[in-house]
Amino acid sequence: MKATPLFVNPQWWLLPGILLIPLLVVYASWGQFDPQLWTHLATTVLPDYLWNSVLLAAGSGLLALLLGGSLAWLLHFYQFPGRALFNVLLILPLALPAYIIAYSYTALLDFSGPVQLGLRQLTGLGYGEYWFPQVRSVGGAICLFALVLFPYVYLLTRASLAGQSPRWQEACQTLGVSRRRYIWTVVLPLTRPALFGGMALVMMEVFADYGTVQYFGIPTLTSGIFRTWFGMNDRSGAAQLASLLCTFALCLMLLELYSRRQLRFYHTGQAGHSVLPTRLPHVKGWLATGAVGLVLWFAFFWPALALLVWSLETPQAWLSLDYLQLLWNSISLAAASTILLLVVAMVLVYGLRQRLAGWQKLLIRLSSLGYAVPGTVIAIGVMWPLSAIDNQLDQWMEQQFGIRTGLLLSGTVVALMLAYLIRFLAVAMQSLESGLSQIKPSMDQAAASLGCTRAQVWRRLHLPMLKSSLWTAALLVFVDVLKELPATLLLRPFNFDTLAVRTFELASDEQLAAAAVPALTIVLAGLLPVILLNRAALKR
Amino acid sequence: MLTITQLDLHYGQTQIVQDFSLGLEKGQIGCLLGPSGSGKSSILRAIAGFEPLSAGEIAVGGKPVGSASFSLRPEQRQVGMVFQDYALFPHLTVSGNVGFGLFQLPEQMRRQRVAQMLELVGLAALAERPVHQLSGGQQQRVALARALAPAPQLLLLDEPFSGLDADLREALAKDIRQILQHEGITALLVTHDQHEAFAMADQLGVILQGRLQQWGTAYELYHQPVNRFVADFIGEGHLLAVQRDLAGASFTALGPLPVAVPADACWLLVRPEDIEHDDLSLLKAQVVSTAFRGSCYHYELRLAQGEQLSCQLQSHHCHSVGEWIGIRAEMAHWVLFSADGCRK
Repeated sequence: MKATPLFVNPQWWLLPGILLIPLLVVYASWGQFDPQLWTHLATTVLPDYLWNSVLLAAGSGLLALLLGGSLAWLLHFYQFPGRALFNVLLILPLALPAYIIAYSYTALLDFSGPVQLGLRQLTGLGYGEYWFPQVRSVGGAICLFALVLFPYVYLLTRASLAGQSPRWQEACQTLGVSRRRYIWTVVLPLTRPALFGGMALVMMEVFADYGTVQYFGIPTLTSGIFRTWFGMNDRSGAAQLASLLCTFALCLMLLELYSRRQLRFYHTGQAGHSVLPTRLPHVKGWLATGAVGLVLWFAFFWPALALLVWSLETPQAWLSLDYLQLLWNSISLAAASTILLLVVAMVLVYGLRQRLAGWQKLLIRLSSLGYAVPGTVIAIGVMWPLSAIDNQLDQWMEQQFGIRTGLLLSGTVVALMLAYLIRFLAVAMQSLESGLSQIKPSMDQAAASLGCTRAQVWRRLHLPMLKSSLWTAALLVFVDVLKELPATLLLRPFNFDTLAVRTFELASDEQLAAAAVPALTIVLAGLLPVILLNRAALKR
Repeated sequence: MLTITQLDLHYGQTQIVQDFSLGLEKGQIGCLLGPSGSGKSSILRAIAGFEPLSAGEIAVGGKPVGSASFSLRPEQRQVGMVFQDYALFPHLTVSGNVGFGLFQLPEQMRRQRVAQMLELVGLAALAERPVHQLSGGQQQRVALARALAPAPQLLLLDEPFSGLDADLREALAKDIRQILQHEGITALLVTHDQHEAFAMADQLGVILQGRLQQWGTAYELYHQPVNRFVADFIGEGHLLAVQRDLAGASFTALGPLPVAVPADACWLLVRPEDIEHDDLSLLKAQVVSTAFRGSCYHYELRLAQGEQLSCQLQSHHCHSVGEWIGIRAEMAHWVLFSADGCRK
């Protein structure tokens, strides 16, 4: 077969190429190396940034690993009261963005919060006369991150345990191997990739976080990028810091990819009737129920209920013009971005299905790297080339026609949507790809042999078969865009607020009760994909 | 080596195996043959200790391992098993898998035994490969080596060839039989494929609907089936109605029966090789369909009265569909069944 010339299908190399530019820009920023700035950074804040970022990621990763791993273990192997309900509820924490749980807990546990208030009333002690853990600290952040992010570890581990063939245990038994030995030499090694894969996802999320660390006043790489950009007004410095952060994130992605590859070999695909969970005896059973219930209470119900209560303190806020404007901004932005994302993802996913040259397929794969890259990094990578284009255009237009165009791209939603596109493309591509893999090439051939043109094949075969994955992709992407904070903060047009941005601003101004209304809206929207995930899991 | 007496198995309320008894001598290879859902795999799993017994007893090496009230844990039974999907451990190499059950041996001896096993199954060159890189047949051999390594008293094989293609199946069945015989292993195999069963086993049992119908050699099952089910399941053939004339002499569509026929015999089993082509014969049959099988042609025939027969002729003989050909019955055995299907 002769290779098709490149200009015939530019969408399969030009498009992914463009999507990669922001990442390259971030690294290219080292071309403008400013030794003075870096000596300054290295002697003052940089060690703090690095140390805090790594400490937060590692701490939250490990804690989430312990929490998610042991919960998955408990629910897979044991039967106890409430297990069926927990199966459904344990992924709820994913609906809470970390920055929102951070505000919620701060309000609950701060000096003026209900917990300390109650404690003082109960004991009669005054300020400074008792010890209480400080929420706004590195330790507090680690706990909160682990509480909302452990479901990544939990879900992957559950899936891995469920995917392990019950024949393995039987094979061990026929070989005279004890249960303990089976668990140590077979189950644990086979589950390890899932545990580490989940941990890598947790750490990526922590690296990407801006809302929590900024609010807690912890200097990390992300908050450092904001400070360098806005505070020191040094764009290339910010981009260079971003490249550091990006490198961390990409390393984690490699770990995650590696573990996913391992899992592919480990899963037999034929679950069969798995081994029944062991019933825990009376007291132990209720202890398990209590422990899982407690985790759920702290990770979801308490902070979410607190938000609900605060938001109901000012019920009129739900109907205020300001809130409706926010809602409209968020929804229209998310909807427009979703449509753009789906179209691009569809084009690229179909590209993967074609007989493309190896480098083109690689390019398409690389273009979905964005899911690992923190929003801050992407925002900076988008901002730079777009404002360069704007400046060029503005100059040119003024010279030629005497018109000033101003910021056509970088100061508008175009920049924002491009950033979302890069950040969430992988989410959309993943669900479309799994949908498309159901359509075997032989089905296309069958349709063609029945006289369908390519357009008809797409409309009559592919579209109906892709419908559910399109909806899944749309929902996941929509909510992700709604929740995204740092990229929105950096790139939004002047005076354009979204729910996430307003939540962040109100919380930063210590108006936690007022922040409850937009925050709760984000949580409610976040519940949608969680329910969807649950239904998919139950179907399995 | 293996004795099963009056075994009953249930899944919930449903009885899946009923009154099943069987004995295997040391070094013998037995096979349970039956359609899917007949309960044969459940028997195998009960011997290994994965299914509880409702009644009966299982003894391995003269020692009882399971009954309705008592069950030795699977890991203490010294019964090896080769699973249908092999159940190889994907995180271990070939030698890791084979050595998995040898954890009690010191390192040195373990390595020796693994090497010996891999030599036996002809995979010594692949010892350090991850198992997912192996072909189906190679994985099969690893599964066998893993099960054999701890030198079990009894080896169970659950549909061991079902994942392989036909050519490989036959070759592997022959290899594995040789290995088992060479090592003097007592083995019980479960399959729905009779060619596989014939190639592997000394003694075979046909199971239908949870009951053992017949236990014997391949020859016995084919030529002396105890009932219609067995005759139907093993090999090809047709049943002809036995009729009686006014004088009381029995005859079928093929002509009078030259043997003494019990009064309640209703059906005669006719295998394809019982029918020969003879242009001179007065008995004619019409060709309904033909199938070329290389060494022979398989013909489905219909007699003038409408009864069906089949026969195999040399592939040089060519007859077209619809043609009437002369046939002659050359019965080696007269297998007769009563109305309820029992052998007479």
